[in-house]
Amino acid sequence: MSQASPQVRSDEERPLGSGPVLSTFAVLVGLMFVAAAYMVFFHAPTEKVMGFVQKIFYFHVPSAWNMFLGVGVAAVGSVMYLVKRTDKWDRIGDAGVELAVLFGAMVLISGPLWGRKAWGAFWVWDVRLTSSLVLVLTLVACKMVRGYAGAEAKKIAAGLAVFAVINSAFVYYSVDIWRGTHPPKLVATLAPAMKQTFWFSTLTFLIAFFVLLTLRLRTGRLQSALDRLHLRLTESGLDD
Amino acid sequence: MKTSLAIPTLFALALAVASAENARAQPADTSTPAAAATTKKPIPPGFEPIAGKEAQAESVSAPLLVVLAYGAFFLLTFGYVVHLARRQKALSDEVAALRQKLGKGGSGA
Repeated sequence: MSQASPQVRSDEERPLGSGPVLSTFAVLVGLMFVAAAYMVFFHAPTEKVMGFVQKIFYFHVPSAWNMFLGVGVAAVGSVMYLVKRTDKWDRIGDAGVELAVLFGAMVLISGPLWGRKAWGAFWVWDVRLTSSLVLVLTLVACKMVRGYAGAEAKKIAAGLAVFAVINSAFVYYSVDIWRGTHPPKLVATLAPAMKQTFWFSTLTFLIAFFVLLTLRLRTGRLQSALDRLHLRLTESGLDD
Repeated sequence: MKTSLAIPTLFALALAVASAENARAQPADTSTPAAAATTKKPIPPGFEPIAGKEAQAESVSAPLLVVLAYGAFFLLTFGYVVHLARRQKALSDEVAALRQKLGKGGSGA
């Protein structure tokens, strides 16, 4: 029992949100979300063509960028895992995938709500929409593989995450290549008040991403500690 | 590692071919919802009356859609934090229990 150093033990057993830096950022991001919502509804003007529904844009786009960021984290973790085969990189890859699924779900919920007003339909089989759906389904598959693929699960999940990275590039550039129903990149053309609201929302989402990533990595470390303890119990013949 | 990278490579090749094919064709102007609508449907000669379900479909409440979207953002974020908190609590408890068990087993031996 005494093999684990006190420093490692305290880090693993630290409850959610503990640590002054993380707590500060968690509170800050909560306040920033409230401020961002205020700016969306009271600071940014209503758009001429789209009307009120355009306000979905201020959270929809940062969610999509966070999804790409999650895929990026998953890519680094997965490639490093395939090279080094250490649990640390696998945990990073898994955390990235999970956050990409979370923010991808936000994109896939808010996008169709906007589309219902803009196109008269919740879903159209546009290249951007379809590729985004494929990306999120690939990431969900990454998570599912871990539960069902046995000993090779981590390797297969890492391979799928690498596939997701290439797909995410396809998602990002699809509006430039195919120019489908989905609007093109509009951020540079926004009016000043819209731009301020958008960038504030983006900053809020960025901080939220790193707070959630820290929490998710801590959960992963706890899971690894538990797995190691189970192994030691089995080795010492104490496991039931 | 090689097998894992084979699928993405094939996918990238397929994407490159598809892009080249697309570049040859003249893309229609569908950059805005209005432009996309005009390319799909023939323009009627005058005003077109609608009735029944089609007319009801026009009355989509934008505030409702916005509230649903923002509700989903906050619900998913809050739900995920709660999920992580509960999972960490369960894992911490299990780690503590196993450490205690290992400690007792070690002292008893």
